This record gives sequence, C-alpha cells and structure tokens, in this order.
Amino acid sequence: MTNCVILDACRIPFTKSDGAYKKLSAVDLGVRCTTALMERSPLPPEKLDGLIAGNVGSPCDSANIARVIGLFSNLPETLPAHTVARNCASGIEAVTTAVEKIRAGSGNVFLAVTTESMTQYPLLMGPQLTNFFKKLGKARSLVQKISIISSFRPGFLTPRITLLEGLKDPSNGMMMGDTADLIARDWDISREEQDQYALQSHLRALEAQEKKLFDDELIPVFTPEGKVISQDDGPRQGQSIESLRKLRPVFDRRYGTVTVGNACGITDGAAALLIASKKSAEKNGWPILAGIKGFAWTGCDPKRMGLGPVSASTALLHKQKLSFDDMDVVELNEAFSAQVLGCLRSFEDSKKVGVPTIEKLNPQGGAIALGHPVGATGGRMILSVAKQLERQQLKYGLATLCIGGGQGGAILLENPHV
Amino acid sequence: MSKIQLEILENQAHLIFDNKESSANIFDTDTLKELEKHVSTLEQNNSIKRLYIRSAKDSIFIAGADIQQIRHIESKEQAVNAAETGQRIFKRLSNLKCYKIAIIHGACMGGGLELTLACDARIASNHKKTKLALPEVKLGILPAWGGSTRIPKLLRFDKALDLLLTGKTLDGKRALKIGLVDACCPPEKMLEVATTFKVKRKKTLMHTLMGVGFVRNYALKKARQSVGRSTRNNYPAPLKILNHLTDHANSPEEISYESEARKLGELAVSSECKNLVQLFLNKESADKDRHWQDKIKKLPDIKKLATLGAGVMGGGIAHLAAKKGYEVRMRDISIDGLNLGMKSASSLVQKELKRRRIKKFEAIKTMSHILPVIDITGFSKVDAVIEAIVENIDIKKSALAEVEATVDKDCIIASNTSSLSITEMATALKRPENFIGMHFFNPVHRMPLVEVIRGESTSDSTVATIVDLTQSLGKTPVVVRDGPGFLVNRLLAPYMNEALRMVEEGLHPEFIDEALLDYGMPMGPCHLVDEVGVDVANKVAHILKDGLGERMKGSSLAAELVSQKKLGRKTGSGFYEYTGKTKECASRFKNHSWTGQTEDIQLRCLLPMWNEALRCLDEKVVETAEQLDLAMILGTGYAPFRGGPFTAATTYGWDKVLQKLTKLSERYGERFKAADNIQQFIET
Repeated sequence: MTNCVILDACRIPFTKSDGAYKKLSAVDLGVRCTTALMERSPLPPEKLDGLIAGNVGSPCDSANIARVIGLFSNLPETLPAHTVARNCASGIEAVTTAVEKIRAGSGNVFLAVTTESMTQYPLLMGPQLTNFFKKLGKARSLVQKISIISSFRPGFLTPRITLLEGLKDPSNGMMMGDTADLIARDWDISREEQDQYALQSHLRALEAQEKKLFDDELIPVFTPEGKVISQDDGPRQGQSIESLRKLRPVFDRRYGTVTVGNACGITDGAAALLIASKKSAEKNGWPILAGIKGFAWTGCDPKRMGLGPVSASTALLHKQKLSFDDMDVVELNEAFSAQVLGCLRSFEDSKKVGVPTIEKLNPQGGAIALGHPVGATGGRMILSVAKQLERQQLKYGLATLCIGGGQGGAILLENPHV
Repeated sequence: MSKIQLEILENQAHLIFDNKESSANIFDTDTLKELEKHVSTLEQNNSIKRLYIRSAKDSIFIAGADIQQIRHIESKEQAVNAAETGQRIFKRLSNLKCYKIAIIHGACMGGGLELTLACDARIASNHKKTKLALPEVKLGILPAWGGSTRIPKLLRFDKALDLLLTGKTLDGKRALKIGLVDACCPPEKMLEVATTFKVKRKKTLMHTLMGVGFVRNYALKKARQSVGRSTRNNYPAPLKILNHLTDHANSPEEISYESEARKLGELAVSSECKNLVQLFLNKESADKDRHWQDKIKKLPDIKKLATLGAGVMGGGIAHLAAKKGYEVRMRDISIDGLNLGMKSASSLVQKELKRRRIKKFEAIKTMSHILPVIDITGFSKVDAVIEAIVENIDIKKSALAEVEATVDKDCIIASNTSSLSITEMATALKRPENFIGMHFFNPVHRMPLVEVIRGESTSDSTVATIVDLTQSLGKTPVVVRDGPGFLVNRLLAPYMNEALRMVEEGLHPEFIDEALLDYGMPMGPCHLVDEVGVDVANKVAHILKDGLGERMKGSSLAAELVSQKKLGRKTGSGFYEYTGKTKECASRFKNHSWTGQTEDIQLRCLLPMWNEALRCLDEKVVETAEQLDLAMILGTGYAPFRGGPFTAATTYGWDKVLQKLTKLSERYGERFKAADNIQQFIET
C-alpha cells in the first residue's frame, strides 16, 4: 500500500463567529491558507494532481467550494477540484480522500483545504415565504398581484436558521448537545467533571499560546476592516471554575449538564495541507512533515454520536496492532466535555486498546477553548498532531473525532525522522 | 495604398476601414479623401438600401484623426479648412438615402466616433477592447467634424456636456446606457444584428427636461464653475466648448458647424494645443517604445514579483502589480508593517468596488494575488524584486544583499529609492548588473511615471526588462542616469527651496501657492512640501547639496520646522494646519505679506528648475528634452498645457531666462548662476 505523507501544512487563527472574520467567506479563509502554503512550498503548482476541500456549510454562491478556492488561489486552471463532506470530520475526510486517491494511483500530490465560516451560515426563507414570492413572480394582472399580496401573513417571515438546523440530527430530532447530555447520563458524568475538563482546555490552550506553541502552525489574516489576526481568540484569559459553574444548561434547561461553557464554540477558521506519496516526496527532495500511517471510519448510534471516537480509534489501533500506550499525542475533538469524558470511560470499560492518559490527551487544549469550525477542525487537529510530534521528537500521534449523525473518524500520524 | 474598401452586394454595401500600412485606422487626409470618393460612388447608386460601416482591424475601429497632422497645423485657416472638409464629407454621408449602420468594435475615438454620429444607427460590441470617446478636449481642441453639434442633439444635455468636457472613455454597455450607441452585443453577432436593425429612439422625461432652457443654462453654469475650479481657466478648450454649447445648442446646423470650425481654428494654433498634443505623442512614444527590448536577444518572462517593505509605496506597488495579474510577494519585517500594506491595497480595491469600476470577483482576485510574508524563502521563485523600505543606505544595502542570496541568479532587483545612489547600493551586491532603480511616484495608483534609473553597473538587459515591466504595469518609463535626485526630484528641489525662501523672507505661503496654482501647477509648493513631508524635503535637499553643490541648499526654515516636529500633513501642521479635510495657514505665517507680483513669484520658483533642467540635459541625466518634459509632467503634474519645464522656458525665451537669472544672482547669490550650456539654447 502506497505510503503517504504530509509535506507541509498551515492554518489561520480560529476566531469566534460573528467576530473578526465576519466579512470573510469560507472561500476567503480557504484561499488565505492555500496561497500561503503554496507561496512557501518548493512544490510547483503544476505538480498538484487535485485540490480537495472539506466544508460543511456550503456557501450558496460557491458551489463546489474546492473549485472556487482553486480558481482564486493562483493555481492552474487545469487543476481539478472537488469538495467532500462528512459533518464535523470533513477536514479529516479531505485528507483521507487524498490518501485514497494516491493509493489508487490517481495522482501523487494533492492539496487538502479545510474551511468553515459559521458566521456566514445564512437564514433561509421558510417554505411559506418562498411560495409567496414564487406566486407573486408568476402573477401577471394587477388583480392577481393584489390577491397574492393579501394572502401574506406575518408568520411567513419566520426564517429557517441553518446554523441551528445543521446541528440537529434529522434521524432522531436531537440537537448535538442533546446527545452529549445523553452520554453524560449513560456514564454518570457530573456537571462538575465537565466544567473542570472545560477549564483545563482553556488553561492548556492559554499556556500553549504563552509558550508560542501555535506559532509554527499559524499564518496571520489581514481582514478587510484593516485588522491583523495572528492568534486564536477562543481561549479565555481568566476563565474560572466559578464562572463555568454559573452557566445554565442550554439543551435541557431543567435536567441537563451541558452548557455553552463546557461545549465547543461556534467558530470560523481554515487550514491547508499538502499530501503526497512518500516516493514522490523523496524523489523530488520535498521536506516531509509527517507520515500518514492509517485511518478508519466507523458508524455508531446517532443518539450517542459523541462516542464515535471509540469505535473509530479502536478499529484503527487494532488494525495497526497498536494501543493508546504507543500513542505519544492524542487529539480527541472536544465537541462537548461530556462526550470526551464519555469516550475515556468507554475506552476504560472495553479495555480493547487502552486509554489515553490525561497528559497526552489534547495537551494544547481543544475545541472547547479554540472553537470548532466544523469543516476545518479536522485540518487543525492533523496539523497540531504533526507539529507536536515534530517539536517534541515523538513517534506516534492520533487524531479522532465524533461525527454528528453517528460516526467516528480516526487518523494515525507518525514522525518519519524518529 | 487603399485605406478603405467599399464592397457592394446587391442592395447592401460595406465600407470597411482597413489601413494596410498600419495596425490602426486613423483619419488622415488620405483616408478622408478616400472616404469622399466612396461616398460619391454611393451617392450615384440608388439600389443600395443598407450601408454598414466597420473596421477590419482586431481592436481598433477608427482611433481618431491623425495627431501628427493636428501638430502641423500652422494657421487658423488651415484648421478651419480641415474642420470644414470633415464636416462636408460626413454631411454627405449622412444625406445618403440608404440606412447607415456603424458597427463599432475596438477603439472608436474622436473623428472616428464623429463618423458614426453621421450614421442612422450605431452598434457597439460588448468586448473590453471597445471604447468610445471624444478626447479632443484633452488635446486642447474640440470635436469639429460635427461632433459638437450632433452630440448635444443626440444625448441628454448633461451627458453631452460630460462627454465633451471630460473626453471620458465609455465601454459598449455604458455607451448604450446613455444612448450614444443603439445596441450592444457580442462581436460575432454584430453583423447579423445589423442586417435587420431599425433604431427606435425614445426620449425619456429626464432627457426632455434637461433640454429645457433654464435647466440647460443651469447645467452650463455649473459646468463653467467646475471647469474654472479645476483648470483655473488655463485651458481654453473646455471654455470654448462651453461657449459653443451656450450659443449654439439650438442653432441651425450650418451655424453650429461654422462655430465648430471657427473654434477649432482658434484652438489648434494655441500653444496649449501644441503642448498637449506634444505631451500625448511623447507619452505614447514612451509607452510603446521597444528600442531597449529590441537590443536584447531574449527578454525574461516576468510573472512573479516581490516587494520589500509594505509601507505606502510597497503596498501601492503590490496592489498595482496584483491588479495586472502578477503574483506579488509583499514582505515586511513585522506583521503590523504587513497590515499597513494590506490595508492600503484593500482600501484601494474597496473604493474601486464601491464605484463599480471592478466586480467582486476581480476584487478577490487582486487581493489574493498579494501574498504577505515575513519569511523570504519563497523569494527563490521570484522573477523581480522591488525594494521599498526605509530611506537609509545601510539598511537598504543589507536587505538587498539578504534578498540577493535567496533569489535566482537571473532575478532582477530594483530599488524604489527616491534619493540614494543606485551605484552605491550596487556595491553590496554580487550581481550588480542585475540591479537598477525603479522609482515610482506617490500615490502609485495615480501617478503614471516611473523613473528607470541606470546605475554604473546596470546591464542593458536589466534596463530592458524593467522598461518592459513598467510598460506592462501600465506606467510610463523614462530612463535616467544615476545621480543625486535622479531627474524629477533634482528639478523639483530648487523650485521648492525658493518657495520656502520666500516664506522666510516674509511672504505668505498661500500667496506663493496661489501664484503657482495660477501658473497651472496642480498644487502650490508650500502645500507640496507639507504633503511630501518637511523632513523628507529637508533630507533630500541635504543629499542634493552634498551631491551637486551649494545651489541646492535647503531653506533654514524647513530645518527649523523639522526641529519643531512640524512636518506637514503627517503631524497635522507644517506650513499649513490640517484638521480633517480643512487646511488653514499655520498661525506662525498668518501675518506674512501678500505684496508682490504674481509673475515674479512664479519666475522665482521656476527659473531655478529651468536652469537645472539645462544641467540635466548637459550631463545627459536624461536623453532628450522631450523626455525631461514628459517626466516632469507625469511625475509632478507640471502644468501640462505649458508643455513641461524645458518647453515652458523655451517659450518664455532662454535669452530672457538668462537676463532674469543674472538679475536674481546679483540680488540673492550664486545659486541663481546660469547653467554653462545656456548659450546654445539662446542661439537656437
């Protein structure tokens, strides 16, 4: 099986929605990463065999966002591009699709770009309003027009909020947060434990920022308002357990334990990665950041989608004949504290592949502090694992996510220089 | 050789403009004669129902009258005759019984557009090369082949005024919108559309309203005020156009034509016209000149650029190049520095977007062509680097050496320095033959001039490459020799010094500025010093004094202001005080005097500039006087209608210049001593 590697990767700072990036679309964010990555790469753009974008909230004016990003990124017109989606793991999906294409012999080098602008998720007209305008457009005579206008009801104006609808599982009517509350009940995870985990995420992220550990991942963004963003703005200085405790549960107001404090933030961000076959990298003398040893996708109970990482990591590690003891870094996406803790309990319970220790689990903080721009997170996690392995001269790193709708994804990276 | 073909098939005729000796169609006397001949043929033929007038050229319909022939008009009668000839032929054309359609694809300017106005209908293509305009006003004349009569009848009055007074260019779509053309379609469809086209012109309510007497008079009044403000009535052409419209908008055709012809007579012999035409020809020559490129066997293909420094100039240059499709790495040593450059590029793009000059995707494309970087490893892929960092020779040398070590061996390195020696900077480099000066003017997006400064080691190939790049960027190159102040700043400095000296002597800055604004300069010298920066002007004066001698010594007033941190606009006060959009004389100078003759003030500032121009020609800083004039007009806005410093001085009379300089040197000192070569210009 063809060995694949990550040549280079970068990301832009992640920012809270409706904030610094509000005038920038998912295309703009993706283009920023792509142009910066190709600017510094020794790889000539003509060598790319394809561009694959991971994105969830497809902007309606940029169908096949991968192609639009490609056309605005000074890349050859001849570069084919397509977009993939697997909810929260769309970022990892972009990378694993590149790997599969390389293994299938469809090319040697691919550019994966993962991008999301949750700020720009639109409001949609409800079906009644849409219908109203359709009929009005078809009306010819003044009488017809008046008759249709008089059929208008204020109720028609209720918009469909795509952000909220996107975070609801249509197969069971549960919001993502409801599934986390369910896992908390299943595994008896207290509110206090969840808040403590959330605090840890912020503290770790703040420490990483202080130690400038994200500097070799980040490229700055120059916004149209004239500001320069060079750091993630999610981690909260002075986040305290008291302030977390004060928050009311947001999904189940009376009996729930999941709050906005112990859940991931709604965020905008993007990342880009160059994936190549090891052979072509060596042949051309391109520097290698990390090797991709394997990946796995699994399906699980949608009502407990947060446990996706359990089935995915178990499948992956089992296939690789490794366990969590062999992992030096584990990035397990923090969609909700409850869900992360639930996974840990489940790993412990099953005893199949061991349990990640608290030290190696999300050592630089996670989505609770940094935010979760759904399509882009996968890119950030892979980049983060690769950089941690490189910086600390460690061998194996695992990135794994839960996926709305009941799936899990996991990818295993190795440091080729150790 | 034939310039127009007439093809007759049954009841359709085609008049095809195709000058076999050139890539352009121009209305010179031969072409007019040929047109007259064809019109005669058509007059005899009663079976023709439709006449199509078109061009066989790729991107030119008819680019206008022959500018060279305008240049050679020596008398009013000659001009009136030329006007009457065109008017007569176009009139005969318009009287032909067949239905006449002009099929316009490519540049349709001046006389070419006037030809189409004599037709029954005009169809323009929607191609980006199609441009329609009546630019005569920019050459100091007016449309005199019926254009000034037909346009006000065809268009809404205010639109007609706009077109005639500004000479602005319209694309097919905009031309359709105002009714200048009757249809706009893809070039491949034009003939098909023309075969059955029948125009239906409906006057909108606004159009009728605009034609009402007092509304029209109001529009004329407003236009006159606006022209007065922007030209200080130094340009006769727009004023004569206004007079013509005031007197003859409702006159019978014949009277209006006669007015056109008479005014052409008056304008074509004016010095303003001569100078504007010469400027046009000089600029065209510099823009199209390929004699440098022709010297080189293989001109490098420049696709990727880099700028060092993301300040006002670096950001402006990056934006210019990105807009033209180059990939530009913009480097600065700090993120905040980069943000400055990105902000200036972004605001330029957003302004254009707001004014609907560009579309959203063009805005995104331009910005994504600018790659802001701190690290220069990506420079190994770059074809040319333009350095625009702080004006400090040691810092520049070290930055240039650092870059040279990273770039390809054939990469050209250029410096945007305005005052430091190219030859001196080249000593820090291993490949000085690839180093050159490429001096842009501020603001980059508006100033057309680039001084291409050849250092002692700069190779022909490098000069050719940068001249070519300048032209590709849409700017006008003037090649100058390395030397203090190069050309433009060297000529500007003594002019500004005298202005400041006059303030020192007690004259009011506004008085001095008004005098030079009246002369035709775009900005008064005291205001200019404030805009440039008193510290910058002071520093340049020092460099010029060190390099050229005492005559370039700056005024001590400037040094004083610098020590008081009154640097001009950037600190809010200098010679003037700046609050928001208002400008008021600085309190310190408020009581200065307004006594003196305007002409004396003008001459006091201009004579040192004219004198220095002689030295520049003597030292071969620039090759020709035409290029010197061109550089000063394009780089500083020197009153274009006066033709530039050398032409202005020649018009004034070099003998008078010598007289005045002698008087001034008796009164004020050595710095007014005439240049050694002045005699040769007095004799000629």
